[in-house]
Amino acid sequence: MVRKEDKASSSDADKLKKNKRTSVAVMVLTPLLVLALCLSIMTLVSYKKFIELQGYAAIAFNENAHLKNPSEDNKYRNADVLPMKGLTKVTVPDSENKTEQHEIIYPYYGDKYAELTVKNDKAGIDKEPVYWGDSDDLLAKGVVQSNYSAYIGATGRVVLAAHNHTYFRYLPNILVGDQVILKTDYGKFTYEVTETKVLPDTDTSLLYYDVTADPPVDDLILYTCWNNGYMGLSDQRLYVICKVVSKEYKN
Amino acid sequence: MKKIFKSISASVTAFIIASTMVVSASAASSADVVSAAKSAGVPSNHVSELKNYLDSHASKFSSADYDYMVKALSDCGAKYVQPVADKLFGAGTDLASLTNDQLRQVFKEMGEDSRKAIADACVATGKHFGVTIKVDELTSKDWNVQVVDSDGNTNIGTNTGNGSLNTGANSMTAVQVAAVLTLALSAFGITVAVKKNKEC
Repeated sequence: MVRKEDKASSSDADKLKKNKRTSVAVMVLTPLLVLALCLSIMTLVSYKKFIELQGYAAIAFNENAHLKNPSEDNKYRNADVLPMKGLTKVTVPDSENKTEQHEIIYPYYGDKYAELTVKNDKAGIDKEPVYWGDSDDLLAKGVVQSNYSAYIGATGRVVLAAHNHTYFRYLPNILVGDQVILKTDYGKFTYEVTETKVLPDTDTSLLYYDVTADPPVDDLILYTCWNNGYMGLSDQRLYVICKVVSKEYKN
Repeated sequence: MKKIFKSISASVTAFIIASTMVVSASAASSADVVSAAKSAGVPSNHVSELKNYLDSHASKFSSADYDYMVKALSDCGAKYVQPVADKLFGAGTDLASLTNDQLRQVFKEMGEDSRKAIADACVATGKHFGVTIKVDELTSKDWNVQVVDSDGNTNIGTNTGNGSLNTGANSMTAVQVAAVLTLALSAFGITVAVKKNKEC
């Protein structure tokens, strides 16, 4: 017959053995879990920078790599083609439809061909690269211009978009009256913000325009996803509408 | 005498008019092509894409080329778009006056065969100019057009659909997802470990 005291002491011994095993497991696992936690935080913080630097690392450590700036690569364009230049008739701002002819250097799809600046520090947009084309890979590199919109400097509606967590993160801070400048190799174009609007993503009234309209449409639209101030996908878009102030061409 | 004079002047007038028509037909410009596209029921974003392409490649096209484009557009519009627009919006509908939403209705209503015929006509027209045109029908209302010119440059058109881009923060790669999961699991594991340690 097993005495009560024997039962109690054997159960205590079992408990002790269990606690010892648990203690060992905890001692071994805890540092590993802490390491995993730190590594995952570091990965999340540095991932985007790592992707940016990968291109340069490839050049630095690869003997056969071409010495070219990886950020200027355009996979859509034949590297040997010459720039496309042409004369275009443009409407002179505030002139009752007076027109002049100026030279424009037309971009190829995927070309970085302009810089965008907003004269409002809170907008956080200073010499940001503008790409012709709006594919996802171009959106990751900078501000994009959809190719149904007018060439910068030509008469028409210039439409620029960027992600709300990168280049247009502070777009909601833009105010009516702010100056917006687009610089290209062929000229400098200045606009002034006249209005901001939030519209559903299916509303294209501020994107598409009639190229045959008389008088012609001539403005600039900046837009991004609008999530009531938060980052993320949304079925709303924040639009910044700008009127032309001046167009200065080199030729 | 009067009769002879009348018939001669009528013939001369007819000849002059005919000559003028011949001259105007071969003096088509890129603006005429843009007008023809609009009149054929091409949505406004594709009309402006076409205008941009013609403006930037003006040195590659002649008046005869523009004539060709005008004819191709007019034929497509008359054959495939006009009948459906007339059915939906009334006989003699002016395709140039339709909104993009109405045009999407027309494209949806016209049926797969007609849409394929339009896509084939685009491809054939591109081939005529040494340009490869690829038309992807994403849905019956949403197309995507890709153009590769004779120099190998790619130009990707916008969809016929929504229009505005998805510019929200959705770019979580597999690595970032794995990092988030690891962070969550390790935090949970540490919590459990600390609890077990207290019990011991």
